[in-house]
Formats: sequence, C-alpha cells, structure tokens
Amino acid sequence: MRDVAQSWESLLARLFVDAELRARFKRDPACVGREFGLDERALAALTNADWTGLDLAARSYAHKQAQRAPGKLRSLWPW
Amino acid sequence: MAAAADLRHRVGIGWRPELAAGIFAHLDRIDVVEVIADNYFKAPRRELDALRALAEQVPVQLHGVGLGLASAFAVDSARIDKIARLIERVRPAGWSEHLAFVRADGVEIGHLAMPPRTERTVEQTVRNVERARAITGVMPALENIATLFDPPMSTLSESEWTRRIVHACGAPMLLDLHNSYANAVNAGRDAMADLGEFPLEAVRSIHLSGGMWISHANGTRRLLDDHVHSPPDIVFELLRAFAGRATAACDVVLERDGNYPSFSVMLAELDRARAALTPIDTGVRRYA
Repeated sequence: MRDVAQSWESLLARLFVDAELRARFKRDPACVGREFGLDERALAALTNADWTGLDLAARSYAHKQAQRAPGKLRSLWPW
Repeated sequence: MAAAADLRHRVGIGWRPELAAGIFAHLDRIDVVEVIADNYFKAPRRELDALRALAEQVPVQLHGVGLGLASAFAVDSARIDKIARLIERVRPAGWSEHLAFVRADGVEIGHLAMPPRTERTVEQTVRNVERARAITGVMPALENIATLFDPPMSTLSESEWTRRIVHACGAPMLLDLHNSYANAVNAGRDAMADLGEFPLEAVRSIHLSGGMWISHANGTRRLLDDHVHSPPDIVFELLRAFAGRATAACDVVLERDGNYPSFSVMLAELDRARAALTPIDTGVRRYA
C-alpha cells in the first residue's frame, strides 16, 4: 500500500518525462492527481503548483537526455 | 576544533575524459579528483585498474548520481551494491550522493529531482542513507541539488530539510554552492543568507560550478545549473564566506561537464578557489 508521498513522486517523475501528461495535468490537475492516488489535501496543494518551474525543469531534463549518447554514461547528469 | 585559518582544504577538479591530459599534466596543482561513480559500474577491468592507479596518485572522491537516496521509496540495494563494489576496488578517499530522487514506479527521470520536502521524505531518506552506509561500509556525503521546480506539498525549507537529514544520519554534507545560489535566486532569496542556514558544521566537501539563465514562454527567467559555464563571482564569494565559518578541512571540487575552456583557465579557477579559502590576515589570531 503506497502512501501519498510515494504517489507524489510517481506523479512528479511522470510529469517530468511525459509531455502529454504534463499538458493534461495543467488543464486538469485534480483529475490527474486522483489517477495517481493523491488525497484531497494533496490535490489542494496543486492549486499553487509551480507550473513555470515544472515546464523549465522538464525542458532542461529533455535537453540533457537528448545530449546523451545512446548507451553511454560519459555525459551523465552533471548535477 | 581547528580555527578556520588553520584548516588545510584540498582543491581539485571533476574527472572527465576530456580533461584527463590536463589533470595528469598538473597533478602538482590538483589536490583531489572527483570521479562519477556510475560511469564505472560496467567498466572493463582495464578502466577500473586505471581508476585505481589514479587513486594511488591523487585522492579520489567517488560521486554517485543514480541512487535516488532522497525519496519516499526505499532505495534499491542492488544499486548500492554497485557503489560498494567500486569502493572496494578503487579505495577512494570518500564517496557522495545527491539528496534527490531519480526514478519512481519504473520511470527513470534521467536527472536529479527534489522530492517534496516533508517529514516523510526526511524519514525515508535517512533510512536510505543508513542502508547505503551499511552496504558500502562508508557514510556518503550528501549533496544539495539545484531545482527549477519547487516541489508541491513541501513543508520544510531546503536548508531545514537538508539539516534534518544530515543530522539524523550523522552524514557529512557536500555543499554545492552554485546549486544553493541558483535555488536562492530562483526563489527570490538572498544566497548569502541561505548559506548560513545549511548545516555548515557538517560540510566536508564543496562543489563549484556555473550555469546560465533560461526563459519560459511566459517571460519568467530562472538560473539553470548547467556545469558548462565557469563559476560566477558569487560562488567564490560564498566560498569565502563559508571558509570563514568552516570547522573542518574540506575537499573543494570544480565541476565542468562541457564547453571546456583551456586547462589554464580551469587552473586559474582552482587558484581563485584557494584564494577564497585563505582567510584575509587581519593580524588577529584566533585559537581553537
């Protein structure tokens, strides 16, 4: 049985890598949040979510992924 | 406890294949080398032998990027085993990992992400770090990450969240000054004030790096920690401020992952770090 903190991480991981889910999430965060098992308190927190940061983070991650040579770790995450 | 002026910090650089020649040619000016551990998990024997040989010439710090210790999920022991085997093989001066999660439910983010900063993630992160220590036999230094996205549901500030984890684990902290700076300016906070909120007494290593400003379509700008630019002046100012409050010797590592300048430029940055670590002599002596 997962808790809400784990549900949050699952949702965040998907939001970072899935542009379609991200777009749907921004249109209807409560609906997507429920799909991931968030409770009402967590859903309420979505109203103040950092959309700009989410977009920029996802863009940055995608850029880094694109820079990585297939099958190689040499340019692995610089952070 | 030694006075800040008496501490013998080591200054070095992150190992990258592109920098290998420069590093070997200037080992007299490089006190420590940090190596990305994950790059060696599947390395052939000759590369591991080379890494071990490097570690015999200069202190090597192994730096993990893929464990995902800061999470509401338990860390995968098999991943820790890889670090443990590498530590056994290389015998580094120490190892470190990030306070980040990198995957969930089979989804690999491919990057370091900050989880919601809550009591729950403090508790599980502490368990994860303890497990990493138990398997490897060495407590990792824990590094603060840069984040462009403030995690929802966070109830703790980054510094308080970090402090609780570091203290509960009894772990050393790897303080990334550009990460701290980027998070501060992106949140509209004062970076120097933020610095003082971290558990500085636990800091045993420091990262120096740079970044660039990026823009959202809505016009918002945020500072991205990208490691392909030189550390800005503020990073050296933060280093100097830290040095004045340091309670233990630290390894200070310059991180650069691309757009490499000439090695002489990077050596000059190491010299600048050394200068920042050297307290200005006011003629007043402090004693422990």
